Amino acid sequence: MSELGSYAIALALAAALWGVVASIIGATRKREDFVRSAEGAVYAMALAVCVAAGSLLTLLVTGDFSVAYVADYTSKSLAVPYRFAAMWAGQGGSLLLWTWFSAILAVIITVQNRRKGWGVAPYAVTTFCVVTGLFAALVTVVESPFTLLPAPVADGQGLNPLLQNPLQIIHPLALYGGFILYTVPFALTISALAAGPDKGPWIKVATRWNAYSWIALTAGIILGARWAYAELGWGGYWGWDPVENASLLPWLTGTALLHTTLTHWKTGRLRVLGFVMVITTFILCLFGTFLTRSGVISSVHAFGQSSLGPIMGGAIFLILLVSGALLVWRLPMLRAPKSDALGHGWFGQRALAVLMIALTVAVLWGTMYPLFLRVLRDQEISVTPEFFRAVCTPLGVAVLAIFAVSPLLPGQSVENRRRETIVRGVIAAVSFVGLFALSSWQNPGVALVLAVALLAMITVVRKLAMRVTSAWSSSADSKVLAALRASGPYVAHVGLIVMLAAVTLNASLQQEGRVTLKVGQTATVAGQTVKIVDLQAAQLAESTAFVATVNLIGGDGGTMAVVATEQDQFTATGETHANVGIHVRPTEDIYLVLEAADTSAKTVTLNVFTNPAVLWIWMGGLIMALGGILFALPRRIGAPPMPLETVHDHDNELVRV
Amino acid sequence: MNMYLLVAFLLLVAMLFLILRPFLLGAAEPVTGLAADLSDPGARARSMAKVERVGRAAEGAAAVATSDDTLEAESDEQVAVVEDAAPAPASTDDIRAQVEAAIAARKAALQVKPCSGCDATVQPGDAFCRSCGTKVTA
Repeated sequence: MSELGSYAIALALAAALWGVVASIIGATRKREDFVRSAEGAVYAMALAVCVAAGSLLTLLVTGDFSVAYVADYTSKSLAVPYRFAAMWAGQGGSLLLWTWFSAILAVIITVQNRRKGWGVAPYAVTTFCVVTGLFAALVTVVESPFTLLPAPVADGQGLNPLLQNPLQIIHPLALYGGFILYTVPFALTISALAAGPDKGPWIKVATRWNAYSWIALTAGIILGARWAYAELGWGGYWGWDPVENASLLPWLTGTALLHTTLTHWKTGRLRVLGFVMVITTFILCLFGTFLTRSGVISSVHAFGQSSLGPIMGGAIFLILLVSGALLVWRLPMLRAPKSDALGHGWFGQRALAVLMIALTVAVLWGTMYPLFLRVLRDQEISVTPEFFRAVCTPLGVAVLAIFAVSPLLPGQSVENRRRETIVRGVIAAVSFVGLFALSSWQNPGVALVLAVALLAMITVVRKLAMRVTSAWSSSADSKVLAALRASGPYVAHVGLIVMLAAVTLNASLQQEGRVTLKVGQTATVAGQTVKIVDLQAAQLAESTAFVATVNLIGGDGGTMAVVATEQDQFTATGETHANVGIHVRPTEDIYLVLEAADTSAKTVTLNVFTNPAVLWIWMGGLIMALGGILFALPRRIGAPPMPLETVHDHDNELVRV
Repeated sequence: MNMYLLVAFLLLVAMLFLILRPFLLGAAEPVTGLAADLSDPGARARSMAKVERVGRAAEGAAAVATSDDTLEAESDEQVAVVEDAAPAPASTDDIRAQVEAAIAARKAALQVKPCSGCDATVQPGDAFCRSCGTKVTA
């Protein structure tokens, strides 16, 4: 089976190479037979990658321990769902997964666009074949998951316990999905640059796929943060780790891209910025993959040292070079058409895009600075989370402020600007004073952020209600669909506001404390009274599990909840792994980590965290993803969705065929 | 013979068929999609009839309530007729000009503007916004 996988991925690479050559010949020389052959190469490539991926999954599920990858990431005792998940637990498997997704996506895009007659389809095939071929080459040449061991082993090493979590089955899929889906807008953009940016309504297709990518990436990041919170046991959910940042960077540029492509679609403006953002987002997706896999950084999420760094780095540089050259070549054609109409809400959309770009630059700088110092000065430093908080907090507040004052921004039609300004000022001032008083005059910064968030929420919800009412009353056919679709962007904004407010509360008001207690003893730590009621030890196949049962005591002295927290000590490696106990409440989580346990002395050492508003961080993320889904709903079956802002001067785009 | 080697060989044959088929059997459809259709007078007439039909339907819908979504959907359909057409020899430019003129005429007929209060679409002739009641200014 491993031989079949190896042959199949090599054949896929060959098909990808032919696809690149044939599509370029077909497009440049108008050779229909070559274009069709390139499309055939895409189907052939996808077929071969499906065979390779099927082979690896079969090897993992059947537990063929003659294959190094299977022995490294599975064991006989591993549950079947995690054997599937082992496909993306290691370097070779996850690269094959990327190749697989990319090949399937290539087929979908080819089938969708082959008869459109836009002239962009052959170049889209070229781009997909380059990207899929790159990953197929990495799997074939550098990190094959089909490498055989010199001699089969009796049992495998098993999956890292940290990865044995249901979220780790979904989170990487969503994240990879987001990364790979960004190939579609990139491929269409590159194709449009190559064929001519006015060839058909490709921007609409790109916007729709951009929304799908954004939804997947948002879900992936939120699920990853939730996994880190529940599994890593440090009380937080986002450590500004380089690999975490690598997933955040394309999300930030992808969010800016959503706003710029909509403006491009509706008014023909922001075309150059839109093209730059598409290329940047895709390059950042590849860059994130490079960071995780090349071994240039050390992180809890990274795959360790690997020889694929130079190849992947070179490929990213080449893709950047070609994309940049195409962009410069077409620059004169990309200038915005002369028009008086800037579009409704143009200022807010541009300001949000600029803030997202500023956040991207800040996070990228903080992530890459240690690497620069290491290369240039042979100096080892690390950038602490404080840097990221210091830089990102004001920019995040600025995003909230834009939502809060959006009706007063240039480009908005507001009836009574003076009255709106006064009302907003009064609401902001009253809520600030109220929240400041609630914090016992302790946290002016938090009160300010929450006051702005409250004003932003009122503004967005009001807009949401108006837009939904308007869509409902003016839609001639499916009113429900029209209303849901119209609500999407505002729902996403509501989610972002909820999340930013919750993050502010959590970062400012989190309490942490450590205590060592005997069974039966009670103590108050981090603002929470805990009582240890039991300590048990159990010998498992690979580890010893210590389980402490803790009563959380409420304000009335009674037991509010009973929480179990566990620590596994692995016999072979001596490593420990905490299974955190979390009591979730709408206002705060009580988060218990068993640091140490002594069954003979009946003592436990607990780390106790009081984490305010964590539930609302997840809720905000879910609401954001839901907003994306609503926005991406089709206008009617088989048709692309409508844009998020009502922009009335779309004549430019319509006549530019 | 190794079974997996046999499967790999069959895979290779299938892949070669997919890749070489256009050279062996000829490309089944033209790259330019519906270009052939528009060079056919019958198809051309059908396309123009469709534009007219969509335009009339849009006009009828506008009499009840015309939204940006509806307008855009109709315009998309009209544009799709043109987009699907590639440059065909001889009269395609004329056809395109006719279709664009038809689109422009329909758009002019269905000229709408947003309410200054709530952004809802204001119908031609309305004195007040049907959504929020704001007075419509000229």
